[in-house]
Amino acid sequence: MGLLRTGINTIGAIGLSLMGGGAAVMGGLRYLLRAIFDAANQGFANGQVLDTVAEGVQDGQLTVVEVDGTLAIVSNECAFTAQGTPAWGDLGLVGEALGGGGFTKVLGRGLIVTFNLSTWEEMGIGWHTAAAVTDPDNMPYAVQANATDGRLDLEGGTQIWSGLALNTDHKWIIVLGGYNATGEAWYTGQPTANYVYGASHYFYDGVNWNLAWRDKADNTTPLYAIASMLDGVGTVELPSGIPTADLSAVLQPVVDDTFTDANGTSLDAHVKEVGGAWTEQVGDWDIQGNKANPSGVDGQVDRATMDAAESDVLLRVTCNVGQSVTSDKLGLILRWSDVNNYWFVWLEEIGDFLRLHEVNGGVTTLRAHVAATVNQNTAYDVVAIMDGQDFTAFLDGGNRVAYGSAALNETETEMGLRSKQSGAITNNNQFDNFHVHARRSAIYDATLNAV
Amino acid sequence: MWTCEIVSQWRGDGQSDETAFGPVLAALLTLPGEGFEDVTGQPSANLTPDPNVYIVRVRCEAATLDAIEADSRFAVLWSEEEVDDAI
Repeated sequence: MGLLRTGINTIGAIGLSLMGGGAAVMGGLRYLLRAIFDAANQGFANGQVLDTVAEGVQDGQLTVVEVDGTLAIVSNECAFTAQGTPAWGDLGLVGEALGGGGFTKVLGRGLIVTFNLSTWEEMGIGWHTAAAVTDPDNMPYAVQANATDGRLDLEGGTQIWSGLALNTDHKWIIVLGGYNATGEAWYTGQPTANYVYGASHYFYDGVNWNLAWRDKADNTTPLYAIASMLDGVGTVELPSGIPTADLSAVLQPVVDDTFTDANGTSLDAHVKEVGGAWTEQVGDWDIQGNKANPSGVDGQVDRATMDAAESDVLLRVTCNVGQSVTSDKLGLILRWSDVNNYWFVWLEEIGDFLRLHEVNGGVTTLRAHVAATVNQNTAYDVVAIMDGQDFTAFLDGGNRVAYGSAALNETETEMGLRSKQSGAITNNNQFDNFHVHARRSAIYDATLNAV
Repeated sequence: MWTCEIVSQWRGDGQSDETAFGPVLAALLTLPGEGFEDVTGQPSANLTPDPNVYIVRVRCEAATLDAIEADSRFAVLWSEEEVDDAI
């Protein structure tokens, strides 16, 4: 990492966070390096190692480079004063191999800097090798300002943002990220060389930020794709070869069915947007009004399942409660192996509740219950999350049931729909928007936290 | 709302949705948001009629908890009021 070349510009704080044995933990962040320069005014010498609070460094160490200029602490900031026109690497603070500070460029580490440009000069942060400061390894960045504005560049000339104001504090954050060869994202603590893809994220002030992301051709090619936002107006610049499919592979459902088909199409003949075929386990199901429509036979428990190919999943479905004389019940089948062994979460209009049941060897057991208002002829959003033996389900994102010992059929991947109405039926129960997401994606934790 | 753990009798025969095995006290949990979770982890196949009890973790309103405590069919093991922490 280097902080390089400028006129009389300042750095307010530097932090390198996340991981690392023996690193300091402050405010919930674990710092390998933290320098806030909150120390007495002082000048530094070329090659000086800064590793004390009196020198402005709280954790870790920085090495001063003053080949073509000077560095000093002035008013609790580190001021850069150039002499002549310093080349990259001739003036700055170094925290990696050059300075022997002990931290290296690995995935998951972040670099945070507050900086302020007072003149038309260049200033940058990034990771690079000791041998090639002008050809930084993967993470080269520069801020360049002129009389009216500035820009944020990737080394190699690609401008990714403009509008940088002079004499203004800016915060700049880089986090190294990436994918491995199988598409798994964000492995922390790994050398970037082991990754097929790399990514770096940049956030800029409150409303002005940049996100960089790109295919990593090799370990020395800069990584970037750009989504930038300035004053709330976003733009996206995508260099060719961006592996956008990698991100979508994480976010896309493994099953997606909006039940869009001609009225009367049998459910087992219907083709989903994503995922395999439905099996009508009990009852004749079809499509009506672009919704899955059970048989509507009085008192019959209709069931339809499909193979999600994953056992740890998030299921989401819209349940349209119908109208019958005695009761309207419907919900999701989870981890089905046969009609006598599976789980189901369901809502009932007469009882006004959401429940989780286990069917084990043909014996049905109520494992969890929450009272909730359920009305006829009304649509509800039902979500079920299976994570090992932990089940959680939500009704309209609020009412929650959970069970922590779901040992039955733990590896079964068959999921589906379940419906029962009793008495004369005016309107069938129906289902819409059936989605299954693999539990391996972190978005489900976000879903959990949101309710 | 209160969170508590309660010993309750089973009811039902497990032969249908309507007669599923479940705690007797489920019928008392009717106010919005009230509910229970089986914390015994006992497999359905191992359910036995004697002793016909199991433990559920319950969330309920104070009035419901009062009714449960006054009912000799149930034994409240512990209870704690949910209090929002100041932010």
